[in-house]
Amino acid sequence: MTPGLAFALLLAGTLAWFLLPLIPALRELLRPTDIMPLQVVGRDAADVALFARGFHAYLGRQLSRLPTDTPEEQVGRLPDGTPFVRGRRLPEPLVEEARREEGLDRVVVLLAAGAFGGGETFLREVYATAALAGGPGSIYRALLGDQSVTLGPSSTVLRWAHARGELLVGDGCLLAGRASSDQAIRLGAGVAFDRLAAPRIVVAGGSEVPDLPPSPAAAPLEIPPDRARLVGDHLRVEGDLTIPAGASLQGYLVVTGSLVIGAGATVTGNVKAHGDIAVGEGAQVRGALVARGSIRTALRARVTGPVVAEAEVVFGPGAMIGEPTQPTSVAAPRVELDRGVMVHGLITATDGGQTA
Amino acid sequence: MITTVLLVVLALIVAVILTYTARHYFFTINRMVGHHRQPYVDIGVADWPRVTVFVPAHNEEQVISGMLDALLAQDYPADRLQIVPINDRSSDGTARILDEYAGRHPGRIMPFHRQEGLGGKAAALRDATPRFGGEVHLVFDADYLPGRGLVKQLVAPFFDPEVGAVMGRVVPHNVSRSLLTRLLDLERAGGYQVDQQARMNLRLVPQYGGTVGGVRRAALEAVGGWNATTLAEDTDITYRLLLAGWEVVYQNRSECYEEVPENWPTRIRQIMRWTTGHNQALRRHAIPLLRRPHHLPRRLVLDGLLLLGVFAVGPLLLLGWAVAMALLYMGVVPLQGFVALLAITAYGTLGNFAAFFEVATAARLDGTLGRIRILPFLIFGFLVSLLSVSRATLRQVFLPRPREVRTWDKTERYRGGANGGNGAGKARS
Repeated sequence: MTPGLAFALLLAGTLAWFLLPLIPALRELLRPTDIMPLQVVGRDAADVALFARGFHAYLGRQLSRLPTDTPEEQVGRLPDGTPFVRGRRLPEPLVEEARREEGLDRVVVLLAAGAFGGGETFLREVYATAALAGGPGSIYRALLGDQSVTLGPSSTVLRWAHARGELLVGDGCLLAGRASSDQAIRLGAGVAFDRLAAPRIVVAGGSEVPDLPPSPAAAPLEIPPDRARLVGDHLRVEGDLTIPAGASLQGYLVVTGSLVIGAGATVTGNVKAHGDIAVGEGAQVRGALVARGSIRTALRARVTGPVVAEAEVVFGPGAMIGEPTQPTSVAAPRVELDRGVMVHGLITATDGGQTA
Repeated sequence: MITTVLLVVLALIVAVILTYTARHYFFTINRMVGHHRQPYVDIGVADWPRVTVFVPAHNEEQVISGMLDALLAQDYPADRLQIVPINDRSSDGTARILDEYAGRHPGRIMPFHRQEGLGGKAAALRDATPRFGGEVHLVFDADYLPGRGLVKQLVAPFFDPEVGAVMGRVVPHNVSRSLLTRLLDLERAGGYQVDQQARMNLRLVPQYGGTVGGVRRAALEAVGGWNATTLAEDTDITYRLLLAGWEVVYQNRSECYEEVPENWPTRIRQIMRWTTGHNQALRRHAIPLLRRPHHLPRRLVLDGLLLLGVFAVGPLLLLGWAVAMALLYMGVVPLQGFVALLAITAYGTLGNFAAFFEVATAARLDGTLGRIRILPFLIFGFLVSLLSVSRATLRQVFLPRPREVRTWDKTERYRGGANGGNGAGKARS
């Protein structure tokens, strides 16, 4: 072997060794398999009824493509092959099928008001054009109602539920995913949920929540200058802060410790605590509440703005969040709602929410 | 004597490189196993504040219409959203397009034409912002394509009264155009999905990036407004807010498409501009940060310093290689045997490649595993960055430009087929 050949072989071997790990890269470069922009822009997580609207549009498209002589009551397949049943009520054999362990594997379209007896499992979406009342212990993949929808006790919705009328949720139900209404959601006791959205979200038992006596006129609170300093448009208080009962405070506030808002006190402005926030009986916050820890409200406390906690939110009996004319958002890993709580707007509990 | 000095310099450089390596791994592991923190992203319904959206534009006739259309389509109360495109002495059809939009959308689009003063984005913002209200000021570059819900998402964190600035995620749109755009897509993913989000998770210092984000007007005024004498007004405002006691937050789910450079000369100019601006911020804010205002925890100071120094790592790495080679030929082996081997190997590999693990993790988090195959080519992007950053730093140190000369060192636009037709990179004030 000549020195030239040896050098050429060494060079070729070295190049091959260098290029070996680049083979997948070169293949991807020459024959791309993944060159589209990330499909992430524009997704709207805050639109709780997005899936319901998407399903309604899908179903409308499918039904409009059925032959014009298709009878109103039908058990068959949609043009895309999805099995479905449509009628004024669910035929008895299909009711029996839904009560079996494997459940009913058809999209259900109900054209008249009706009720299920309970214990059914629907593996595909249920759409009711009139009021629908579910029985106890039923399982729905997803549920859409043009009017009111009632979920019987201990029922489960796996993906989403939306009612254009009221959505009434029985005791012990599980609302996994999204639940929304164009009018109101009424929650029974022991309901577990993830995301709720409605002009009014009401927990049962409000009539049992005692009223509070009218609060006396609030006295303005002065925070000593050695405890607070003005940072731009907010007052920053180092350490813990207690706003005394009946006091009032105006302006944005940041507390680097925990914050206690005493009974009957009023804070006007957005408020944040690096620790926890406790809102006393009948106290009012006319603005947002933000905490790195937890937020707890006592009897009949009110907050008009967004409530955001990085640990948990616990609303006590009769708490009112948001206003009928100005809905707002509640967001925390865990959210607990006591009797008579009313939230106008949106609740997101990323690790799960629960009613008392 | 010389040997001792070189040894000390090399040891310091190795220490710095290893610190950044550890930082890369720390952030990557946090994104793989840590708690994903995004407390404000679920604020979807609220009494939204008044917002002004600024769009600085210099010769942007190719893209400005798309940006304005996207802003007009926002899911935000129209009576609380004011759109202010800033026409900074454009010589193309930008001014005409803006006036046409203003005529069609009176009260919603309010163009601000400027013909005087310093040039550049920071100067344009400094002139425009005091003339417009709004509790929140958002800023978008003219070539961006925000989704319908983006303004709401970016405004939501400002319900927290401590938040002074918000940054969203920038996602390349023209990924398929060249190898460079694909590499930049990976780099952006690593930078936002891992670096920025990890700093958010760990309550460190997410960086306001100058676009797809915004500031609280009261915070901006409290720290003296935009700094017109820097090429990186975004980094500058991040540190001024931090030092004054405000939080900067990053929202990973607030994504917006952008056009990334499609050719290397444009990319090199971009890196050099960023380097110069970032180093200006390093010079201006390192000492105040080291003095540590009483409200700043030590971890924020440390992360802030490391973030300020990211563009100094490149020149340091080159210097380290040069010193190591010099010592080798001087017959000096810093350490003995396997310890030296370990140190040199760690310096030569981990110091360079830790960022690659970030990119791979980002691709996994985004669920785009196909594109990870071109990761080996990232070494070319890394080398180009290394040399460009070092060149910009050396030029800055030895050939400082006169302060009064401020330019629009724009990135070329590619939309619509014509490439570079906006005079990118050539304009002078």
